[in-house]
Amino acid sequence: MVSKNPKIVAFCCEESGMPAYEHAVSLGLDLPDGLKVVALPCGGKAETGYLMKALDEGADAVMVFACYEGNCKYVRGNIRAEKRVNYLRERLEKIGLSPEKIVFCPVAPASGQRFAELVQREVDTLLGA
Amino acid sequence: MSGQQAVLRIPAGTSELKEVSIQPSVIVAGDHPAGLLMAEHLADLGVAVTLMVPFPTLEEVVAPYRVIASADESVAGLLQEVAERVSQHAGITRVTQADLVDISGWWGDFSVQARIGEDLKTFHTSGIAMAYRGNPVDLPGIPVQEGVLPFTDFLSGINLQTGALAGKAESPKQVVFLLDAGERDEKWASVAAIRVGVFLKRKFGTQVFILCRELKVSVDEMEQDYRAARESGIIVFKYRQTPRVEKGSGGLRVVFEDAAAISSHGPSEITLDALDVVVAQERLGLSEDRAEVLRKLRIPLEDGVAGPNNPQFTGRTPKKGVVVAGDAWFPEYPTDAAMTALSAAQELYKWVGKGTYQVDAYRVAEVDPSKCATCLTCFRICPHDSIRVERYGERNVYITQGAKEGATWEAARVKIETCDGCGLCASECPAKAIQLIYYPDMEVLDFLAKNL
Amino acid sequence: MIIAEQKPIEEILEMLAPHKKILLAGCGACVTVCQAGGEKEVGVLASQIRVARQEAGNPIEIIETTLTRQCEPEFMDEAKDLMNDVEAVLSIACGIGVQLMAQTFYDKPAYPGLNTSFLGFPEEHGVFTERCAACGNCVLHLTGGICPIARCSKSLLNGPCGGSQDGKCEISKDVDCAWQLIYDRLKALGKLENLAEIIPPKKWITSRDGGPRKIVREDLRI
Repeated sequence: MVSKNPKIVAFCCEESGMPAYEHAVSLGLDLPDGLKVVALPCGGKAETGYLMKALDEGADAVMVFACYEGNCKYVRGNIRAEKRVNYLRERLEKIGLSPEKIVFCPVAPASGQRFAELVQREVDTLLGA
Repeated sequence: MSGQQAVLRIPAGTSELKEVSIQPSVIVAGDHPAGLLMAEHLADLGVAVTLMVPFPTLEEVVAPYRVIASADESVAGLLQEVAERVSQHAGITRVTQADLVDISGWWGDFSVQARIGEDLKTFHTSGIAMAYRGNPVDLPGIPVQEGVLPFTDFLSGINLQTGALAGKAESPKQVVFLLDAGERDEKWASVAAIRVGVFLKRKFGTQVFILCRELKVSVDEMEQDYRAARESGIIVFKYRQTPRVEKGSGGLRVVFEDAAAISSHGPSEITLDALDVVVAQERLGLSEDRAEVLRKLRIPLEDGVAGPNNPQFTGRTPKKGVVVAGDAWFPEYPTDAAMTALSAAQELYKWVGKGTYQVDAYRVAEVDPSKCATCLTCFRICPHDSIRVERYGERNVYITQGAKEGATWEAARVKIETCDGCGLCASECPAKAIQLIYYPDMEVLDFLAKNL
Repeated sequence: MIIAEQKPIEEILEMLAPHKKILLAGCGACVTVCQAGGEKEVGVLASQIRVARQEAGNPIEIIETTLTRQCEPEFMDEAKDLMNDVEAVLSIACGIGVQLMAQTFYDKPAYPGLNTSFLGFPEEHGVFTERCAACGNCVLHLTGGICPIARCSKSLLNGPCGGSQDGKCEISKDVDCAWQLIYDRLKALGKLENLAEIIPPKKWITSRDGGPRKIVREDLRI
C-alpha cells in the first residue's frame, strides 16, 4: 500500500540531477516531502545495491537522475546507470511488483521544472497504481 | 514543499593532499598540421616538445592543405611557414619518419614506443598530443570507380600551377563536388568545396557543381563566400537521395533528383553528363593501428574518431595527460582544426606545464586488496584508465594453505593521480572491494536507513 | 573459471517459501568474477527477496555473508556461527559450494541460488562462453587448441559434419563451427596434415560416463 505521501529516493548525479534539484528548489517548485535526495558523484555510482536497498528499507520508488546520453563527464556512467535500472525493473516485474518503482530520468542541470514534473509524475503513477 | 526534503550531500572538502612533480615534457605525434600548431604552442610556453612526424620533412605535413590555403587566406595565414617555424624552433626536438606504436603508463609517466624508420625506440614523457589525418574509410553510397576521387585525394593530388590532377596534363573542364552523403555532421567539405571551387573557377575557368543534401554555411564568412560562389557561376544543387554515378558517353554521368525543384510533373531528375571528375566527400576515420593505440588507452572512439564521445571538452580525452586533435578528434576545416589544436594544447599545458601538482588522495577510490577477486571489472570500466592489477596485496581470495610468509598477491590498484573519484569502479565491483574514500557506501546506506 | 547465473527469482522465492530466517551466502571466487554470486550480488538479491516477501505480507529475515571460497572445507568455518541462527542457507556459489554447505551444515537445508552453467571465460565484459567440458582426456594438441568436445555441438572428434555452413553451426548462426575454427587454426599453423589423421573413438570413461570422478594424489596428502 502506498501512502498519500509516498517515499521516493532520488539518486542524483552531481553534474545534472543535483543541480536540477537545486534549481527546482530555487524556483520554489512543489516537491513532495517524502522525497529523499542522495547526491552521487556520477549517475554511474547509482549501484544496483543502492537502488534495491532503498526499496528494501521501505521506499515506494527510486528515481535515478543522471545526464543525457553523450553528456557523461565520465564517458559511460549514465549508460551504466540506465542499464542497471532496466535490469532491476525486469526483476521487479518477476517478483510481482510494478517496474515503475525504479525509473531512470535523464535531466539537464538547469531543468528544475523537468525535475519537479518527473517527481510529480512518479507520485501520480504510484498513487494511481 | 520545496526545500524541505532530506538531502544527503557529497562530503565537501579534502584532507589528503599529495605533492607530485611532473616534468614539463610532451610528445606530439601525427601527420596533421594540428600537430605542428600544438608543438609550437607548447614549446612557446616552455614545455620540452618532442615532435614525431611520419614523413622525412615537416613540409609534407602541411602539403595536402596547400590547395585550401591557396583558396583561403585565413588557412594560408595558419599554415604558411608553420612547418618552417617549427623546423627551426629551439624548444622542439624533431623526429622524422616516426610513428607511435604503443603507449602505456599514466599522466606524468608515459612510456611511448615509436617506430623510427625500421627501428623501435622507447621514449618517456609526461603528456601526449596526437594529431592524425583521417584516412578515407569509404565513399558513402557511391561505388568506387574510375574518375571518382575521395575529397582528400583530390586536394592533395591537384597541381596548383596547372590545375591538373595527378597523372593528368591539364586541368579538368568541370568538377562535381558530391557532399555529405554520409551520416556525420561535418562541415569541412562544404567549406572546402565552396572556397576551392571559387579558386578553381577563377584561376582555371573550371565549371564547378556542388551537389549536397544541405550546404553547411554556419562558419565564419561563409555567407559571403557562398555569394561569391554563386556570382562566379558555381552551381549548387540539393539532392534527396544519394546521386547515381555511372559511366556515360564521354565521361562520368551523375543523376539525381533535385530537391529544390517544384514541378507538377512529378520528381524532377537532373543529369550532369560528360564529366571529367567527380569528387566525393569520404567518411574519414583513423587507420586501424592508430585507433588501436587510442583504444588501449581506453579513449572511446565513435565512427573511428574520438570527438563525438566528448563534446564538452575539445581535444581532451578521458585519459589524463593525453589530448587528440586533427581528424583523429573530428574531421574539421583547417581553421576549426587549428582552434581544436590550440585548446587541446592548452589543456595539456594545464597538466604538464606547472612542474608540481597537488593531487587529492582523498577524493578517489581505493581497493581493499584482501577482498579483490582480480576479476578486472574495475580495470575494464574505469573511464580514465586509472586502475591496474598489481602484485601488492597481503592476501586475496585465492590464498592457499602453505603460502610463504611475506608473499604478495595480485589485486587491483587505483592510481590516485589520475582517479577522478567518479565511483564507477566501486559501483560495479562484484566483491565490494572498492570504496570511494570520501564517500563510502556506509554514508548512503545509513542515510537510507535513517530516512526511510 | 566456473560460469554461473542466478536462478529465476520466482524459483528462489518458491524454495524459500517455508522459511522465515535464512543465511544468504556468496562466494568470493569464480562466481564473484562472473558477477553471479559475489558480495554485491548477495546484497542485491537479499534486498529483492526481502522486498518480494514484504509485498506478499510474509516478511523474511536474511543474514548476508560472503565466504572467501565455498569450495574448501576450511572456509565453511566462516559461516558456522551465522548458521546457528537460521533455518536454512541460500548459497549463491556454484554447485560445489551448495553441496559443501549441505554437507557441513547437515541438519539445515541448503538451497542453490545459482545455476552452475559451464567452464568458460568472458569473451567480453558481460558475455561468457563455454570452452571446456572437463571430459578428463584432453585433445587440444590434436585440434589446434580448439576443443571439439566443448565447442562442437555434436562433440565430433573428426569433423566437420554436414551442418557446417559458412563457418557457423547448423544449430544457430551465432555459434561458430568448431571444426571450421580448427581447420583455420591448423592452416595458420601449417599443420593441416593433422586433419588427415583419424582421431580414434574417445574413452569417455574419464568423463561423466565413468561415474563420479576422483583424483587421489598421494604425493600431496598430508
